[in-house]
Amino acid sequence: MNYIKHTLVDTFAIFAEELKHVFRDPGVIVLFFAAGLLYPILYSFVYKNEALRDMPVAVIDNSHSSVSRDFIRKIDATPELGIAYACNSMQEAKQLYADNKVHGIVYIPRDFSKDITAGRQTHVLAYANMASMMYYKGMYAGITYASLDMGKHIQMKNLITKGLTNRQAEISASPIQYEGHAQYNPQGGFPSFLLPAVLILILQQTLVLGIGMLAGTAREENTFHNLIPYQQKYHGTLRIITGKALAYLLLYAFIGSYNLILIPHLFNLPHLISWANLVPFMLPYLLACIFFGMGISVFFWKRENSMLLYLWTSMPLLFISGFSWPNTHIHVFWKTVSYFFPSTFGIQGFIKMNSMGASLSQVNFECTGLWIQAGVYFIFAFFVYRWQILQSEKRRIK
Amino acid sequence: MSADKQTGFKEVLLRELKRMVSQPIYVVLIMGIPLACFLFFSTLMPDGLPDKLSIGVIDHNNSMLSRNIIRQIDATQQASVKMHFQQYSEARDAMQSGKIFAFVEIPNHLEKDVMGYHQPKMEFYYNEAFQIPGSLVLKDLSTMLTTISAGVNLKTRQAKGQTYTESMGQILPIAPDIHAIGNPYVNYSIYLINVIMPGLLQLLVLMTTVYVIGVELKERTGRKWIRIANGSIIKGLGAKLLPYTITFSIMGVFCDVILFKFLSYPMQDNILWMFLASFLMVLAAQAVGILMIGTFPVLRDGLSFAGLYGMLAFSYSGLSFPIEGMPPLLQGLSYVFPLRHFFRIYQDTALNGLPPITALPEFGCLALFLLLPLLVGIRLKKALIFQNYLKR
Repeated sequence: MNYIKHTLVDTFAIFAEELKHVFRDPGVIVLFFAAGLLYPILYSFVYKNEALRDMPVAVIDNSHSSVSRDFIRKIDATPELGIAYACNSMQEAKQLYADNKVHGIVYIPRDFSKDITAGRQTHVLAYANMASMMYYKGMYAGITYASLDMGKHIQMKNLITKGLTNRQAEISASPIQYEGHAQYNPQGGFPSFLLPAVLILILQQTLVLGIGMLAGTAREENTFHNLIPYQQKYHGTLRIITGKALAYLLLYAFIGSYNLILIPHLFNLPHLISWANLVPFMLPYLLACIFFGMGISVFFWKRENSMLLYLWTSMPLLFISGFSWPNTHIHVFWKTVSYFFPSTFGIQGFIKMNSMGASLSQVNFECTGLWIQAGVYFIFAFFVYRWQILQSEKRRIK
Repeated sequence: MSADKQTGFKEVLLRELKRMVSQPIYVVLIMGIPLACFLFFSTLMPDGLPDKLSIGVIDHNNSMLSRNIIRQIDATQQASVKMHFQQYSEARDAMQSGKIFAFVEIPNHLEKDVMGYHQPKMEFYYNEAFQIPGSLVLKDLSTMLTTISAGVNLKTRQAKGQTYTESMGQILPIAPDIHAIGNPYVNYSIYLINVIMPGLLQLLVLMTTVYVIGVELKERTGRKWIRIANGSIIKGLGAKLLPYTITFSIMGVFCDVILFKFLSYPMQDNILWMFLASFLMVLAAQAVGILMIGTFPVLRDGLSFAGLYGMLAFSYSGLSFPIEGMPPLLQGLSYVFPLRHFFRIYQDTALNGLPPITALPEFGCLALFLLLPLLVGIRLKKALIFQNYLKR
């Protein structure tokens, strides 16, 4: 009975001590609060406009006909493209392209109208700047739509001239109709796609950097840790780890809720996740991040080392998670590497629940992965801390 | 004057070289991490485009025609029919758990309706939460379904005695021919890695610069450093940072060689322009590093700001989201990131093959960054000499 009481008292003491450490350290405050709380806002502002509308393009109309003018109007009317300049020559259009005034060029050949009247297929050329995938996507969608739509009208008109009714012409022109439905991000917005992944990643990265900074500081101050209240070795390690982990968990319960609930609401990102689904998912995610951070903090022997040696991983970790390049197509080696990081499961699971409305049972794979990571990294952190305690005691004896 | 110049400079340089070999962290920063990043990004997406993405079908019709349609969809480059469902809810569940990126629903009386001119409608659903595979599948499915519909049209017309060419002139009077300039196969790796790899290098240059100066503040060795440099902050900084300028420039050039030679990414101009851009970006990042540690002459603060800024550079480069699509205030802000200018030079020369003169303003912008240290030179020198480093 007494033993349990001692354990609880010790754990709580370490927990409270660690919280004090966090709040006394401006570097950690910057990471946990400034980065953890401000970054999501900064990112949301950069990507505030969900998509590009009316991308400026130059058009060269060598046909100079009412049909070609119709076609140009049709392009201009698409949400993706806007005709910004009408050029007389390719040279002129290229200059506008070089000056970054347009991101695409549409070329209508001289025989455009003549071909159409004669019932011959005519070709329209379009060139898109590949500096951004969005330019290409816009060009592709806009030109394809304008060509198909106008083509259908021409076909129907010809059929009606031949004596078909409007309805008959419509059916002949498109015997089978189709319609695509965008799911989970119907506007195809860029932030709705990117930010859920970034928000999850920020939690892991700030935790690991902050824990690394605290560990580095502790080591610089030369004793292993000045918050070990008693020298009960074996149980002491467990108490230290539990106490510290609880302190981080408490802080990140707030920062995590802010990142994953408040920010998506404020910035109109997808937010289909409910608290009932979020909590059982966030718990293993945060625990896995915390123990992972505590475990690898052994490599950060100075307080600045975590920033220097770990921050860069944010980019590779974002891409390895499969949020953009699908994880079914990531090389098996990198896929294996990705399973070492909580962010991989965290990003996949969160996107599925938050953006796609999946239930907890549909992210069972990710959830299990996170619990396994939490367990493995707990053991890892335990041995790292145990080893460190023994080291510092050896030094003390000397 | 020239003798004076030699003293100090050489000593600081030698002192720095000794530091660089004394601790493994230097080698990790200037070689280990850049090479790891290069290796990672150059092997992550070797195909450039993910093909045969898993999709599902719900075939309510189960006819010759519907099976034929499924075969044709399966034969597209980007989509592969991996799952068959009985009803919508099953397919939706599979998409929610990430097993498929899209699914097609074939209506009950498809074949009969086509024969009877009832214009049946096929629906498909694609996942835009995973935008890259989602839009690739969208593109292929739309094209294929258009083709299938046109195929029926073509058959009817040919039955009536029209030739193929005649028919196509009616079915598809305007055929668009869309070209992706400089990246003809719309290769996703080419688009992404050309900026991400230099971007990570820029981050490392920045952090390393802040670190090597900041650590003098932290360890209170700044006064000694400046004394060895004969009291000149310019000479001190120059000699101290020179080894990093050289090593990081080599890394930058190596990065270009990987991209344009080993991976054979499109290079429409002389690769020397990219070498120059890489070199200038290393210098610019070093200059920003000096500015950061000069403004916040505490190692910890300097590093935090450098990290924050270095990561934001990716967003402000305009790679993920074009700059003109950002709010106006942020558009202006994008100018203070060397990566943005590097990206523009890459666009103008390597990607678009425009006359190099087009990129001149961007080269100029990168060069302007080199003036930044002037703003903080005196402040930094004072901090180094007074050694008033805050411990925490």
